[in-house]
Amino acid sequence: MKKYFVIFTIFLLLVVGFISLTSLIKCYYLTFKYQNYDFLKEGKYHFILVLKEDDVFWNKVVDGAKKAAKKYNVTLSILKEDYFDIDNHLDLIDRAIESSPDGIISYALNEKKYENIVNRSIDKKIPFITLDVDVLKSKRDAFIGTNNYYTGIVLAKKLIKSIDNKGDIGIVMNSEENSFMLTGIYGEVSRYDSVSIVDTRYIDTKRVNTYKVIEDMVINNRELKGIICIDPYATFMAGQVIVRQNKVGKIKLVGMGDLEGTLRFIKKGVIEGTVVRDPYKMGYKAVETMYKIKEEEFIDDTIFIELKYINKGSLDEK
Amino acid sequence: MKSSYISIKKKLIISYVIIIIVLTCLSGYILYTNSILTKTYNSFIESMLMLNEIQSYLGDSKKNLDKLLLTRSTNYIDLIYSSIDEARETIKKFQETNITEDNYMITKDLLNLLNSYEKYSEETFRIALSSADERYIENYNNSNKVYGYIFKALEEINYNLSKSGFENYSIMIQHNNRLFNILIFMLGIVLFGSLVFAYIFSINMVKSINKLTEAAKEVSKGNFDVGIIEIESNDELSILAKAFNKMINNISFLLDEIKKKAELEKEAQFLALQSQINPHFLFNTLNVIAKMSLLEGGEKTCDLIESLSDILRYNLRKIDSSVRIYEELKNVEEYVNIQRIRFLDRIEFCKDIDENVLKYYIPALTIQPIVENAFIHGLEGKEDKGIIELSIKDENEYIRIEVRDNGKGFDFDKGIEKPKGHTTGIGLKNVKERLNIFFKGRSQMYMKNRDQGAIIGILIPKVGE
Repeated sequence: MKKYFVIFTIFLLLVVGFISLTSLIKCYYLTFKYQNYDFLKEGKYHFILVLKEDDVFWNKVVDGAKKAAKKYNVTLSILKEDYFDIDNHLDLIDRAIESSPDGIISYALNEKKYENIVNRSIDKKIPFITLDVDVLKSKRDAFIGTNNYYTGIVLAKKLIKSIDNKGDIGIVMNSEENSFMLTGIYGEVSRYDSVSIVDTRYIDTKRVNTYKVIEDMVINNRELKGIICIDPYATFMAGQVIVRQNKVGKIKLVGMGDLEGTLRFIKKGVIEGTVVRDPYKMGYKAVETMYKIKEEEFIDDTIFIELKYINKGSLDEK
Repeated sequence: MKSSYISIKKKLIISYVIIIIVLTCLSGYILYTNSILTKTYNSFIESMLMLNEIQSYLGDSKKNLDKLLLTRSTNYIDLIYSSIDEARETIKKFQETNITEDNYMITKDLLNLLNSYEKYSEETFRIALSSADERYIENYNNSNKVYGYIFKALEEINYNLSKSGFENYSIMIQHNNRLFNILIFMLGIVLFGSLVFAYIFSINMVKSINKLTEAAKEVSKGNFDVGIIEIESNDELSILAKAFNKMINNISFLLDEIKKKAELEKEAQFLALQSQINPHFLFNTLNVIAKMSLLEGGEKTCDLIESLSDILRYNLRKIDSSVRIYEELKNVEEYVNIQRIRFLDRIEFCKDIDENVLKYYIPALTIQPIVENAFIHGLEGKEDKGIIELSIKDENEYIRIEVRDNGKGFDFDKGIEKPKGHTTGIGLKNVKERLNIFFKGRSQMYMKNRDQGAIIGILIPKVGE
């Protein structure tokens, strides 16, 4: 009796102790996890990274950039808006310039407004790297991104091949400014007489009308044989449109991105294939290059991140 | 389950200490988590307050700048500088709080923005004070722009802070709630356990005490036949019970002893009363008869009468007195003398006596009744020669006295013989009991049959002066 009582009590004490301890550790961790003062140490340089928008792709860019920042002992602040809007984006870059960091890495468009602001930054002795899209006439220090012209060519080639070199095709763009890719697509298409671009549609920056836009294009162009989507989300939506309109196989679809839904559609044969960029590497390279600029090392002023083409075959291999 | 002795006090203290420790752990833990929670909440509120402060300082500086532009008075310059400095200090203080990496980076930019804001403002009022027109407007616009950026950055910090703060807070609240349930459960177990312990503990104690009380009541009524009280605990109560048992045992044993003694005395007194003759008269008469027979030439008769007189004198002593063995032995000799004359050469009496033990004490009339018994049962009704042997031997701590005869042996079915045939009226049973009383139960008496006759023996401890 006595023995059991003692054993029971000891057991109780142990349980209480264990639970208390684990919970304490958990609470402690929750409360003080930010008091890891590593990042409070001053880095060698402080860069500002201005994203295009807050989505999966750009968050991967941030991951890569942070990795590189850690490696090169620089600090990094990130400015972003939920959705892309030229004026807001220009404001962000302006804010970055007024914050007078050691360098600015930003998404840009090949436009006069961007040209001005990049030049202003350079005038203030703040190095500027453009991401994803190059501002050709500006004094930017470097461009890091994919070769959009080449991407357009690849997309067009793949689509034309899948529709047997003839038929009408449509293009779904995400912003009017992404002209290089369009140029690439047009250039490739012009090499085939029997292929013509009959429709080019633009989706909203907030992407609320994506489905409607693509559906309209499919309905209005009865003879449509193929679609090129240059937006990851639009690619997935286009796949859905094709399924709902019962056009699987009749309309070939080539797009971009590796969203989960897109991959599923590729496996099922709804989407022919997609071109995938490597955002992580883009972010990493950007910070690395900026560091090299500050250290006055030699750099290429145009750095392309290689593309990957995904289709049913390559997915099955995995 | 045998365990070592633990006193009631110790039991109580141990159980109290255990309960107190458990409860202290529980409450200490609750307090600690609560304090962590409050701390988190406080730091969150504090950060919010700091952000507000920064905003209000900046607002002040802006207001003062506007007033300066309106009045073109230098009075406001100090105010502008001081509020910007205050804002800067607060931002720096904010950096030292529990801050996330994102927010830290934003504050870093914020400080730079503040610098450029200060620069633009400075330029603005410098131009404004040096000229009457509105050439300051470009700088003023710039300062407004940066002011907007600063507020935007503050908003971002605020957003991040609330997001992470509320997330943390809700996780901790959730966690705390779950824990609270566990703690309540634990508390219940502890409470239940201690109640059960208290119940069992008190029940056991009360039971034991009741047993003792009942027994004590019986004893106070005079009934010593209460049996042995058994208490299965290892504390003071078991000691009490043991002591009580021992006491009852001792008392009943002593009472028995007193009773037996009284009985024996009564018996002796009765016997004495039965022979209503004055012993002195008897002895004197016997002496006269003895001398008379000597004068008449009857020497044997004289011896016989003297032996008888000695025996009588010895027998009439107090029955519970003790004598030395040799005195008893003398009495036995006298008895045997008389019997020898009675039976002539039909009997043979042999002695084998260790001289060393003669000085020890035994109760009077111990050996004589045994020898007499041998005469009565061993020889009566026997035609040929009867042999009676008396041996007294020294056996270390003990003395062994044996009487052997070669008669027909005991008939155990009939039980021990009645004392009627004995001269003194004292039977073997009486001898045994007296021995028991005298030697306090350390003596032994045994009877057994041999091939020829029987042995009656006693084994008694040596008792000196």
